[in-house]
Amino acid sequence: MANRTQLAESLKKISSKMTEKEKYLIELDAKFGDGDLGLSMKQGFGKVADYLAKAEENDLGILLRNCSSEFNEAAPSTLGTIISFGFMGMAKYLKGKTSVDLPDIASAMEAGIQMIMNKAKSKPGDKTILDSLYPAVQALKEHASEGETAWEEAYKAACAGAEKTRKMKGVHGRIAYYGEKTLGEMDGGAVAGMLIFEALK
Amino acid sequence: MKKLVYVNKGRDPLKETVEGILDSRPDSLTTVENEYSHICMKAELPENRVRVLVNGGGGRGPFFEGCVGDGLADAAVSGDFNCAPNAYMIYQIAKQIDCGKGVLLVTNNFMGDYLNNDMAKELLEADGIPVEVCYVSDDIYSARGEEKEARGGLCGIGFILKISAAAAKSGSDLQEVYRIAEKANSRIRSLAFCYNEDTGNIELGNGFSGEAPAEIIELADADKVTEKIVGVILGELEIYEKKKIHIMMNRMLYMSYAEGYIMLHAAKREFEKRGYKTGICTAGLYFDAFDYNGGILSVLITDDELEQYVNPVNGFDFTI
Repeated sequence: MANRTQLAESLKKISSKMTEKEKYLIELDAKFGDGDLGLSMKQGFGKVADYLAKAEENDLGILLRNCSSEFNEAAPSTLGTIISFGFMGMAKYLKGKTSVDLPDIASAMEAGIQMIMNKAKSKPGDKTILDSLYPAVQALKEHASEGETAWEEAYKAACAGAEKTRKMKGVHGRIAYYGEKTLGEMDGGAVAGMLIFEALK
Repeated sequence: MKKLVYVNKGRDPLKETVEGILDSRPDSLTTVENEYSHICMKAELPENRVRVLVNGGGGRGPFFEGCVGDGLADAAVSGDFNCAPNAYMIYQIAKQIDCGKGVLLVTNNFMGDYLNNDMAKELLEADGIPVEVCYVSDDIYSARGEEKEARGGLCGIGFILKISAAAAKSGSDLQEVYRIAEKANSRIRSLAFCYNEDTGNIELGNGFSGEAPAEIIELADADKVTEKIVGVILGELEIYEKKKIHIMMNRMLYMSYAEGYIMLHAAKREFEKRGYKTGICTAGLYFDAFDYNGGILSVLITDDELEQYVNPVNGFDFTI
């Protein structure tokens, strides 16, 4: 079972991971984006981790809704806002709950991803963060009954998903201007999604 | 982006920009201090009516920090240079200025702006505040031949602000103001043109963030260049009845005052040559998006209904 303490710990891990990989993300994003990916992930998750460390609220829905706002304030970039929508989708699903099991967590993440897909009008295969998040959450769902190994499976699926973006052409945002040239490169957003699961495993 | 020279180390240049704008209009404007966004709003909001809130990336000419005033937006929220403001600040300011009649959010149709406005809309609706968003998509070359959902916005947002403010002033409700704004949006087209010093050519349709131009033409007389630009724009406006065309010639930082008016004059003549009546013609620095000598020609084709809302509006240092 997981409650607000585990949520805070998880976000702290993600925040540390993003800080550690900031430079790498900046380099990745500078090729076809404006290079602010590393900074916005560090700032966004940093702000969320700080908030959760101090929050006294127990309702996971309220906590995640506030995570959405904290993240968005610190990182209103495209990817930052997409992640904020992810938090918002999870918040709606977990409203009123103070403690959840792994299948619940997987379903909440799925709700978050659904919200991202609706709002960004995007789907896996478009060379975005969804290419790592979507398969990871599917794997988490599938293996949820197996306990902690599910996180390992989710991470593997995220890695494979991020790797697949090398074969995709970008269609959303600035990357779309580069078309064919984006072949061979991993998408920065998909790598950020992979790092989330690397931190959680 | 052009290097800023006259700034203060360790201080936020956009915050100081807003402070300067407030200094220039101390009686009519105010701000709300916060860590992440830059806000200008009317010091006194008009009587009971729909509010217009413009938002987008900061630091690019009067659009958007300087777009607040009589006949324009009630409040402007901008993010950092070239960055969308965050949804929570849009939400908070919209909530603050609403008087119960709702708020029209107006922004250019870029991904970051779209997402943050969409989220702000969600938050406002959750609080029971009526809200609509007009995503301005006048950039003709940002996605050629594609639907307007894929197109970005340029200077046409100035027309939209003036028209939605006039519609709100006339007492229309939010749905009506939104309908009129969207109608105007479908009848506005803009095209960016830049002189490339290295090649000596004129580039058409460059993207803000260094995206390649959609078309390159040889440098020629202003009339000739204008003929080409007008041709591209009219290619999409021919579906509308040949009523009146309103022209806004935006100069970038490196285009001179004289060149701005030369191009405006050329555009007016070119439209008239092609059988259009021309209405309000303005030139000025609205949106200094490119580090080239160049500009953006924005055009609105009106019908009888829109014509009611297009009276010229004086910003502090520009006219729409």
